[in-house]
Formats: sequence, structure tokens, C-alpha cells
Amino acid sequence: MPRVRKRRCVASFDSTHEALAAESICRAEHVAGRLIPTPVEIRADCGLAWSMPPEERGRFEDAASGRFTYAGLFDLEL
Amino acid sequence: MVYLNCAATARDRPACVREAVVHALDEFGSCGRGTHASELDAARSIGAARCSLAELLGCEQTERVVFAANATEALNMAILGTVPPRGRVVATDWDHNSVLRPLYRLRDEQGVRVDFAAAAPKTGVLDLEGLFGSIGRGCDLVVVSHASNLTGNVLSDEGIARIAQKAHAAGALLLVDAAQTAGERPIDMSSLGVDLLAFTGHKALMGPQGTGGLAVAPGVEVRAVIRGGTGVRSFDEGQPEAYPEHLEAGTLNGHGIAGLGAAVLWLSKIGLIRVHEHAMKLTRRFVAGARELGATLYGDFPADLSQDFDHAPVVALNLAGWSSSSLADALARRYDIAVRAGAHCAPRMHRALGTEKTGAVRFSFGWFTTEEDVDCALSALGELAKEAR
Repeated sequence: MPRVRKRRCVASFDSTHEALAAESICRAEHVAGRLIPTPVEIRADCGLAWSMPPEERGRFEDAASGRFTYAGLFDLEL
Repeated sequence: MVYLNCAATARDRPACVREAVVHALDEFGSCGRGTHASELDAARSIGAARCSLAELLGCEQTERVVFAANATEALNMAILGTVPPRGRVVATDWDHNSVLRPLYRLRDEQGVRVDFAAAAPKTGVLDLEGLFGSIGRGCDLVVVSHASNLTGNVLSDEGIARIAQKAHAAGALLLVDAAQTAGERPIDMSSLGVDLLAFTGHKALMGPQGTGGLAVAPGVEVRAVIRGGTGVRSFDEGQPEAYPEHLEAGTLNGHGIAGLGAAVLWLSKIGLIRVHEHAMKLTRRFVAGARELGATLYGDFPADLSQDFDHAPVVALNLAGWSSSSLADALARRYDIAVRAGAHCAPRMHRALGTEKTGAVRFSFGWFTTEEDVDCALSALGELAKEAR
């Protein structure tokens, strides 16, 4: 059975500390998603990335505001 | 046994520390090196310990609490990472070899000038005015021990804040060695103006050996001395600029840090003011008893011990008729009491006290030390004092 790819919005971070802070805040704010190995398409940054459904992007950005820093947001098919 | 060597390491710890270490050994993967539940658990545990320590030490940015193997490694990171070649450092007679040896290395290999503020004979009181006088333009770093690991003399918050002001006015950073005080009393590096604070995890913080770290104030730049893998920016040739990875190359001691994190949470619930009050009660009791025995005490203690004074729970002494090594050995072998004899890695402090040749016996107390422990040591000292007559 062929692998099914899904559109995801992925946040990258400059440090593991920021990725963990993002996870903690996103959980508290009920932003759907989870930590994943940083996709090779992003290449640089931290080994941890936050993967979420594309529709969560706005809520993620609101949750981040002034509370944690992410390096970039990428629309990917994973 | 009676364990009175808490300034060397904590022997007794809250049960939660052992439980956290065992859990980590059984369950943890490697922090920042994967996203399996076991790896994320390790990362979350280390992150939680970092947060707890930042709060405990008054470090404004959590990510700037950087883990190291001990205070020695943290002090090396701070000293070697901030002092330029042919720079200038002001330190003190209170400093431990963990400060002195990196400074001597910089002096010998990079032409760094190192000036020392003196401590007084017998009491070991630090010449603060002399310290201020040494801090001037061209000074890169001021290093002070929060408390002497030999005498237990401690710098007041006011004293540290004044040193910070003088250092900053001269364009220098202030590094505080809190090996003897982190976990023993409240410390707020932010309000005191401390730029760099080195701590160890296995003394008053009561975590496992092999833990410690450096807390770095916002905006303070520390060059990474140790370089290597971080799980971050793997294609960059240089060390990542972002903290904590900037100063945390290599796999962390996740098992030990899990225990340290549990210890810090436990201490936070007890409250460091309560911890310090307990330490002072034991120190007063021991000093009063040792005075009655005629022991020679080294340190700044008031004549009237009921008056308000501050001290770390560390007391060094000698007893007439006994060498420091023989006294410590007798306490260990005959009374099952653990203390520390010798030079205590504090050569300048011993020279200042005039105990370079004799050494001294150090008694040090922790949260799990009881008044009965102190009385037991005093009773043993009393018997040994009589033998010497």
C-alpha cells in the first residue's frame, strides 16, 4: 500500500529548548500537533520541529507571540 | 555514621532524587537526539530542571542556565570564555583551585594579569575596599566566591551588588562561584547584577555528582570553549549561537540532571530561607561548642553568637595537640564522623589564615544534618582534646 502524504505546517527552531517551550505552550493552548524530527527539506536548525495541520498555523503564531521563538514556518507534504 | 562533609558533597538526599535517577536510567533516551517518547522524555526532564534552576537562581532567561559536569567545569567555561589574551582579572584569596588554576593558566599562557584581593589572617575577612581598588579600567572579569569553602565566610547581597556596580562601571563582568551557596540560601543573580553564576548540583542542591552548571545573564557573551555536537545546526562549522546549545556540546548527563531537577523542586517546596535558617542554627551550635573546647576557629564569627550574623554552614578549626590530618582520621576511625582535613583546594585562603603548613579540619552541615550530629562531633572533639593534654 503506497504511503499517503499529508500537507503539514512545520515550525523549526534554533534550539531544543525553544522546541520544548513551543510544545509546552501549544499543549496548553490546545494547538494540535506534535514534535517530529526536523524534515530534511528544512535541513538546518534544531533536530526537533513542531508539525501541525495547516489550519493550525494561525493559532500557532498567536500562541508563540512573545512566549517562544521559532526559526521558520514551512508548508510541506510529509 | 555522622556525615559532616557536606561542603564536599551531599551524602544524604531526598528520596525523590534517587527515584528520578533510577527512572531516567530505566526510561530515558538522549535529549535532543530524536523524537521517540524516550528521547522527548529526556529532553522534557532536562528542560524542566533548567526552568527550576533558573527560578531558584534568579536567572532571567531560562535557556541561559547551561549544564556542566560540576562547578569546576562551569567556572572554566566562564573564565576561559570571557577573558581575552593579555586581559585583566581581579579575583580573591577566597577562591578555590577551580578558579585559580584556570586563571594561572591564562596568566602563564596568554599574558593575562591577575590581581587578588586579600583576606585577613585568622578571620579570613575579605578586604572589600582593596577589591574595589583593584577593579579599574581594562579589567575584563571580576571573580568572587560567594562563600569561602574553607572558612564559610560569605559575601553579603549588598557586597555582591557593590562589586557588580564597580565591575560594570569598569566594563568588566562579574562571575560568582556559588559552589557552597546554591541550594543553601536564596540567590537572585538578576537583582544583584551578577553576570555569570557557577553552581554545582551535588552539594547543597543535593543532586547527583556529575551535575552543575553556569547561569548567564542576558546579553553576556561567553565564547564556547568546548565544541561539538548539539543536535542543532549540524551543517554549521561553528558552535550554535543560541543558548543553551552554545555552551552545551555533547550528550548531557540526563540521568544526573533528572535527579538534580527533582532535588531543586524538593528544595523549592521546603524553601531556601528555611534551609538557610537550619544551616545557621547548626553553625551557631557547633561554633559555640568548639569555642568552649578551646579549638582554634578560622572564620568571621561574632563574640556573641546570639547576635545576627551570616555564614555558610562551614567551620574550619584546629585542636591543640592534634595535626589536622590526625584529628580527621581519629574522628573517622574512632567515632565514624566524616570531616575534611588538608588544604581544601584553597591554597590562597590557607596562606592568608596562616594554616598553609598545618591545614585545618573542616566541618560542614546540610539540610539532613541534625543537632544530634553536631553534638556528637563536639563530644568526640571534647574527648580528643582531653587526650592531647
